[in-house]
Amino acid sequence: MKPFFELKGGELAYRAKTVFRDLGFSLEQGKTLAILGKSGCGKTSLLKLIAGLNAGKGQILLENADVSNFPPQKRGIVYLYQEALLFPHLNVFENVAFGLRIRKTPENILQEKTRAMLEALGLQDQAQKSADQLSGGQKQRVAFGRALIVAPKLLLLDEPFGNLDVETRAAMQDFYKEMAHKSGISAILVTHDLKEAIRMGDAWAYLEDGNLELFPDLQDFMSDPRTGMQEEIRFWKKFNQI
Amino acid sequence: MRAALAFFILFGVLPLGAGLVYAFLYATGFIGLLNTGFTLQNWYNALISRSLWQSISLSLGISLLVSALAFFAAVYSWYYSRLLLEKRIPQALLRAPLAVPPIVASFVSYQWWSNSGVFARIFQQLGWIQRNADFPELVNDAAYFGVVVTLFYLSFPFVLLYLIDQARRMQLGAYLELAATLGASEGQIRRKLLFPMLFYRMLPTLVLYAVFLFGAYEAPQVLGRQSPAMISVLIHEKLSRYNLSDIPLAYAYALVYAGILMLLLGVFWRWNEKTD
Repeated sequence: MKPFFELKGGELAYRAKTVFRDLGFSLEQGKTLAILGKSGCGKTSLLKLIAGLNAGKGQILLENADVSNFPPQKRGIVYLYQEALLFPHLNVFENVAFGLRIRKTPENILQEKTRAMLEALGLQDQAQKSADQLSGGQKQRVAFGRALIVAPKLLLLDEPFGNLDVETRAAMQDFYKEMAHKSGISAILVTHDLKEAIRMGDAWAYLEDGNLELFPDLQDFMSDPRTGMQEEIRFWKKFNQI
Repeated sequence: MRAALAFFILFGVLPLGAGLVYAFLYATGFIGLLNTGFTLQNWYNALISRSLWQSISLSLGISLLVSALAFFAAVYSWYYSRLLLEKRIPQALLRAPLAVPPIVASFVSYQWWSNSGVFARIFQQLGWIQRNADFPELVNDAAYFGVVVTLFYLSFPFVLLYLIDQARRMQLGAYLELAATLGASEGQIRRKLLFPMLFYRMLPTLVLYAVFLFGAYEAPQVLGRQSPAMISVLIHEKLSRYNLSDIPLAYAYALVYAGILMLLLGVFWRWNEKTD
């Protein structure tokens, strides 16, 4: 059986320096692949390659179709940044409805879908507010809603909760898991936060020096010294002994 | 903080206030060589003066047109060549026109666009016109083409440099990428995001810039017409005439002009505060 998503021969160079070469991996439908890696290892570049937002090469197969030469608009892949990037001239409702408006969805369906999404996000009372009247967590919820309402085939998450405080980040990670479970979201998450990778992922990989290593399960992922899990365990053991 | 406030009042508010009071006293007949005492005649004459209202309308129209042209040109330039514009050399080239004084730009414009200018000669050499005089009037013309082109030349680099900085601060590139992955076409990105986002972001500065253009003097003086003249040219012409009895009227003109600007700015800031 063919995988839901597959990247073959991913390659990117920046200013004559190779970021990664011959990189490949696949993803099952409805799963979230968490890619852990240090800052500057090429995580964002990898996501942008998949989204069609940089000049990288590689074959991208999504639902058995080769989308490698499709522009970003036609891939059915939504990229979510670290910042929520809510459109400042639109209110919450219009931000969430953005994808439907540009698809010229009939007004009654747009209203219905957007209200349902706002309810799912727990933001039904915030619909008329502007982006700067929301908290960091609420902004990220709106960003998720805006992405999910267009039913993307694949969601790319570039450290989406990196700007949030620890408590809000944990709440948002739980929120994501719940939404992912309910909506059957297929996603690739890149992060340098080990806990985020563990909490949000269903499959795990580590990106270093242009090489991506996929782990068969969480246990293997956590056992790899590069993830920092063992170090973390040692730290807390030592801390508990004090 | 107090020292800064005192400095601002002493060197900012006080001279301006004194100037306005002086102009008011002059226009109202309290001071001035030929004035004989309190009168509202100058105010009446100013308010019913056709040339004043024509000049104000013309100045307002030109300032809005040039600001809008510079904004649209800057947005399109940024959109289609943003990677290039982030580089050092293009940015240095963009800064170069900022060092050109308006009077120099005006004379250069005259040399390019007048009947005896470079374009007229090129057209004649190409055989498109028989004589220099057949070249359309593009300076000192009724449509104010020469003034608009020159003010645009002076404004565009400033607006573009400001836009580049704002776009970087607001991560505009990331917004556009995000919109593309959400399915927005190039046209939708421009219409629904690029223009409105930059417009709201830059509006306060664009309004101030339009106010600056409203009072432009050198380009309208060299390339404009005597009638209707842009407001600064009209007031200067009245003030510098040999007819001393025109001076109070010139001050009344200046105060009406200043009052209209203050009113427009006041309305704008109030609207801006509300929408913020």
